[in-house]
Formats: sequence, structure tokens, C-alpha cells
Amino acid sequence: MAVADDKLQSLFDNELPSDEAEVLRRDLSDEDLLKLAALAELSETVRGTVSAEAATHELDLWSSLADKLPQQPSAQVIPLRRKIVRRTTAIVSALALAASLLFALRPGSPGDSNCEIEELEVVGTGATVMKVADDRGNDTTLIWFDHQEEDEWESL
Amino acid sequence: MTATKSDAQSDELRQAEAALVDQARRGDQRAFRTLVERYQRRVFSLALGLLKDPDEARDISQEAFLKAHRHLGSFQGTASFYTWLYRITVNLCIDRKRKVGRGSEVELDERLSHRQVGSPADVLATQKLSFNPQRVAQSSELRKRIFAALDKLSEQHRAVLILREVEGLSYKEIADSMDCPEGTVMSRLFHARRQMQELLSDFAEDAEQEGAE
Repeated sequence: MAVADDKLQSLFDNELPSDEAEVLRRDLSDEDLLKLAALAELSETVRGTVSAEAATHELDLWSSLADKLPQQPSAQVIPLRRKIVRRTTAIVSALALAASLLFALRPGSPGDSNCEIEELEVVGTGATVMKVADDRGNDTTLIWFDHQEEDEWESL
Repeated sequence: MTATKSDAQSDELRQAEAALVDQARRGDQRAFRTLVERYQRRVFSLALGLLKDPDEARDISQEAFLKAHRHLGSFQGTASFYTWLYRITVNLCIDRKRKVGRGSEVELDERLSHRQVGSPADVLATQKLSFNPQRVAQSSELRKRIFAALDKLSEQHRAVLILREVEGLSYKEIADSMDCPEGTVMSRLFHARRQMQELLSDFAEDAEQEGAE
């Protein structure tokens, strides 16, 4: 008895489990063998046609693709420690900048009353020099020290 | 023993490919270039088989790689890279055909593909073709006639046939490439083969008559 065509096709395409394929191969009729031969011939014809036609054309897709691809920087691997240091520095800098801006622009701050502010760097502490205009139009200079107890530094 | 060795080799290939895809995804153009050079011929053959026109096939192949590059981030790696690439290529080819109005046979052929496989009206041929398939490689005239027969299939049938016969994909890989169930792949493949057998037997008869004249 002839094998069903769908089974025959699956056998031809090696899509059956090996034990089922083996059983089926034992039961093949002459007609089945002719069908398998015709499938093989068709397969060879289609593959031969498309491959032979494709082989007649030169192909270098990369040379034209390279210009069209968006340029992306290669991903860099950064050690975790350096990454943390970089991130902390960026955060601290951003906070310092934000604090400076807040200090300079706050309502009623020396910025509003025409005063000039300068930073002083002194060893172990910091100071701010402010020139403030008083009610009579005279300038008064103030120096503000950020006093830090020594044991506070030690605890940091 | 041989099967184990070949399994190990294909595992190695898959891992190497996954590493390349990962590097390309992180912006390494050399890795992407390797992928292009590895698959360009196969993508071009597929597009050529589907579109018939070499210039269009080249355009589509390029577009397929550009699209793959753009969407590498969304490639999840559950299927292989080439299955994903074929899927992009097949979709682009079908879109292209529809845009130029060559997709009119789709509906009719879709009805055909849902007929029962192996029904009495639709059985595999038993007679062989009357021309030697090896001659096909040497004769551009023969190839033209066979491409004309392929062109009579719907895009879906042609795609399944080429993915199987030219690219050697399994039913599962074809189903992944075409986003359809394996049963549909089997059915489409059966009808594509059946139609090609009919078309090529007509062609063989024509060739015989031409020879007699």
C-alpha cells in the first residue's frame, strides 16, 4: 500500500523521527520510490537554478552598506571602581554647582543687594568674602569662615 | 559518534554567531561586517529566487542588512540570526512585490494551500522531468524558463520552496522565518512542489515540441 503523500514529503525532507522513517522506508512501494525520485529531481532543479543564477552576480554589499550604517562608538569596558569614582565626582560636582547657584540667586541674598562674593581657599577650612552695600551706600566687607573642628575632620 | 561531533560543531558555530551578534549590537562594525559577508550570498539568493530581478534582489539584500542592524537591539536570540535575517528578507520581498502589484495570485494560492494534502486531486507526480537538472547550471535559457515557473507561484509558496530547497532550512526554521505554524509550512511546500511539477512538465512538453520542429 502506498504511503500518504504528506508522510512521503516529510520522509524526503528528513523531518520524521528516525525510527518512524526507518519503518516507512521498509514499506515503500514502487510508486512511492518514483515520487521520491521526482521530488529529488525537482529539488535539484530549483536549487541548481537559483544558486547558478545568484553565482553569476558579483556581490559586495559591505562597501555600500558601510556608508549607510550609523556610526556608533564601540562600547567601552570601564572598571567598576573607576566607574563609581567618576559617578561620585559627577554627582558631587553637580551638587556643589547647584548649591552655589542657590546661594547666589536666593531671595534677599547678597546677590540681590549688589554685593560681590569671592571664594577663599585656606588650608584646612574655607572662607567666603562678601562685599555688602549698606543703607547709606557704603560698602562693608565681610569674611565668613567655615570653621571645622579638627575632630570632625578626623571622623570623616 | 559522528552525530555528536556534528552537534558539537553546530553548537560551536551557534555560539560564535551569538558572540558576533552581541558584539555588533554593542556597536562593533567589524563584527557586523563579518555577519554581512557570511550571509550576503544566501540573502541575495533568497531575494533573487523571490523577486527574479538581480538589481531588486541586491537592493532588498542591502535593505535587509540595514534593517537587521537597526533592530539588532530587539533581536532576542531565541531563533538563530540567519532565520531572523531571512524573515526580514522575505517580508521585504513580499512588500516589494505587493507595491509593484505583482501579488495578485496570493489569495487564490492561499486557498489552494489550505486544501487537504494528498487529496486525490492533488498528489505528487511520479514522472521525472525530461531535462537533466545538471544542465540548468550551464543554460541561462533553461534557468529563465524555470524562474518563469517559480514566478507563477504566490510569494508565500515561492518563499517556502526556496527556503527549503535552496537554503536547506528545516520546517521549524521556515516556520520561524515566515511566522506561521509548521503545518502551514508543510502544506505550502507540498502545493508549491506540486505546482512546480505541473509547470515544469508543461515546459518539458514545450521543449520536446520545439525540438521536434
